[in-house]
Amino acid sequence: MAVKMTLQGLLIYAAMLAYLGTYIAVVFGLRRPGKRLYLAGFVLATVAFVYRWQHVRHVPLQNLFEVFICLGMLSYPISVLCRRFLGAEGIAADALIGFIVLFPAGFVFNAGPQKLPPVLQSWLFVPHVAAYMLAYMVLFKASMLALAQLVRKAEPNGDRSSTLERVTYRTICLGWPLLTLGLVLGAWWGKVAWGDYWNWDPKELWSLATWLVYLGYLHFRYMFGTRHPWVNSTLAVCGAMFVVLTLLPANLASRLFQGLHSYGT
Amino acid sequence: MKLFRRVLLWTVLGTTAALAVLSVAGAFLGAQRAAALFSSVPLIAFWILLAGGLAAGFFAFKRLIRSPGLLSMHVGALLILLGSMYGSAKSHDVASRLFGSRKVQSGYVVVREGMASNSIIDAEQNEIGRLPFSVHLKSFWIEHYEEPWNLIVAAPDQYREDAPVAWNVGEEIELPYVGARLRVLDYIPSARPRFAEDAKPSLKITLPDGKWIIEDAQADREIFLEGPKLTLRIAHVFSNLRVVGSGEDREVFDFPRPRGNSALAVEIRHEYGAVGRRYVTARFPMHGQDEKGLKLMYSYPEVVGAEADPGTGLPAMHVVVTHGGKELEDWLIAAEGAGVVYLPLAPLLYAAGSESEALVQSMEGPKLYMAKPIMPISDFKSDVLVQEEGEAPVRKVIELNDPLHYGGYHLYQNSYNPEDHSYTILSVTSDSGLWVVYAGFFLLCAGVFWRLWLRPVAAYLTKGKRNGG
Repeated sequence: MAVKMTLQGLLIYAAMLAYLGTYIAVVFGLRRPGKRLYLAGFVLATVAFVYRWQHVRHVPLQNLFEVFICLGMLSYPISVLCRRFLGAEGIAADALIGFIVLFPAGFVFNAGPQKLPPVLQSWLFVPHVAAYMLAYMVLFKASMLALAQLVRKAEPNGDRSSTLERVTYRTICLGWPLLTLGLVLGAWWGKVAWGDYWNWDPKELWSLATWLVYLGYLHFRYMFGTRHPWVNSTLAVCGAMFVVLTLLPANLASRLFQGLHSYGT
Repeated sequence: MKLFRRVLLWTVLGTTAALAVLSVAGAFLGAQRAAALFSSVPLIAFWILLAGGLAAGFFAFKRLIRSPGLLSMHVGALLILLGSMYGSAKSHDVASRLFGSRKVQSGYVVVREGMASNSIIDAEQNEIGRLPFSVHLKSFWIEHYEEPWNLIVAAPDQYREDAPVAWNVGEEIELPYVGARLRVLDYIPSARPRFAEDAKPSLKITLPDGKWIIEDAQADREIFLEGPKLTLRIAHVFSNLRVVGSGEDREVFDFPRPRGNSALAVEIRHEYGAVGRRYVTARFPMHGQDEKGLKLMYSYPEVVGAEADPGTGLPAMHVVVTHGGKELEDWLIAAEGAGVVYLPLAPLLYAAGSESEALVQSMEGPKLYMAKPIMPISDFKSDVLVQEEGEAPVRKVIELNDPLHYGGYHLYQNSYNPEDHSYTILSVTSDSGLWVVYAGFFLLCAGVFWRLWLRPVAAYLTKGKRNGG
């Protein structure tokens, strides 16, 4: 845990403040100023990302510090997209996710620039990681909607709950193809770089497990539709938990999950 | 049929859950043991069940055939399963037992520079098969990221550590320990010294008969003499030759600094094989007198600066250090074979005189130095020529992320001899089943995006917001 008193660090903190402000504003019913703050946070996070890019001179998705800035930047466009086309509300929750993913970039991960090791010098690097980042943010959003559904389950207003369940499903339908693409691009890259499209590496296995949770969700929902909404929503929340487990421990070069993906220390 | 569908769907859920649990278990086991687990006999049965379930789905659910998106993703998944089963080590094993196939699923080929090999070994270096072609290694090399050299202030005593300083061209910074201020005026990443009047360092050899020749003083240069019959080789170029001790214990080394004791080590090989070594310094030419009447003189012109030379890969740094109204300006120019150049600071920090001069000569006393950093590896490459009997040879530079596909195998840059880079280790993988898996990848992605993205977007565009995303 260290404060980064650099321009890079300050940009991240400013974006975090804006996201936190969005959350507070929307919770207190100030939607319009909240939306403006959210946009400001997005601009700040984007500047932080672009600044990092020109600083390290490669697309900044190499280590967890860079990846989490990217996640923080994606929060806003995904929120707008889901609100406009999927009918998914929840600006406060979206901004909160943005704040949470920027936190480790701001205070935990090492910001020291690293040279790209030979194995990462491939055109597949950016699409593979980018597909995953987008998928993760969309699926986080879906899990928030599912959580809201689970919380409101007890309320007499059943309509609202079933709407939330349906929106969760649509959001997962947006995120899961990206998850599939990330997995397939990773396998393809594995073949090109290491000689095998599947290496039974811990990170690969965690991401497969995540993919399977959503696969199970889709089949279960196909089987039972909205008859058991709480099972659907629980599976969606479970999927996001798997995302967190894939994203963090497997990348932190921990003793438990040593493997090919241990770049981002 | 209804019951069959129900059983099938529950089987899908069951196998999906089981595979998710096994994957998490595999993540805890580590890649090697996970690979063993997933190719064990019960798991082979599991894979067959999974593939069978998928195939049965096409009969049970007409939707899987009628909907192009669903058809594509499920066929894709089936192809991935079948292709990877066909390409697995177990399947190669079965093929070799039943049909005498000689294809090896994966292994390594170790090739020395200038040699060829077709022997496939495993991680324990046992031969497990042979490639149907030979791999000839033309050359192997490692490339590094070019990083600027570090600037470090030497510790004033043994209790403290040398202190690196963060420098940028044009910025003035405070130097630790010595209290002086430094400014880097210029930094040339690849440079050579510029000498007064464009002269060059040279070695003058005067023969016993009074005739003389002048040669450029470069390391490894060989000079053949006729009378007396001798071969001279410049073994080393010193920028500041230092000698410690005497007789047997004498140690000769380079302590590079500007305007140091420039010298050459010259190897003299006699006709009958005896080899002698002489040190020829530029400052004390009398030292170069051979007992046979051969006279060596090293002339090292005054260095007036540095200029860019892309060929050297050695940097030069122009610095100015100020302290108490005094100024010391100099060029630190890296020399071949030395990872460091010193700048004695005694003339700046102490009053001019013999004491300060002695500190400079002995290389003791306060100093700043420019040192080569550890350059991160950017790539390693093997230039290989592969040839199957009766076929045209194929040449390719194999590097990470750029394998060679030839004769049913992919060849990858894997590792190398870390000591002298004399051999490369390529990993080889059979391509059996690969195109089936790739087709599966494509169909899976195409189906998923078609079904979950393009179809709803098309519906949204044509029918308005009714169906949503």
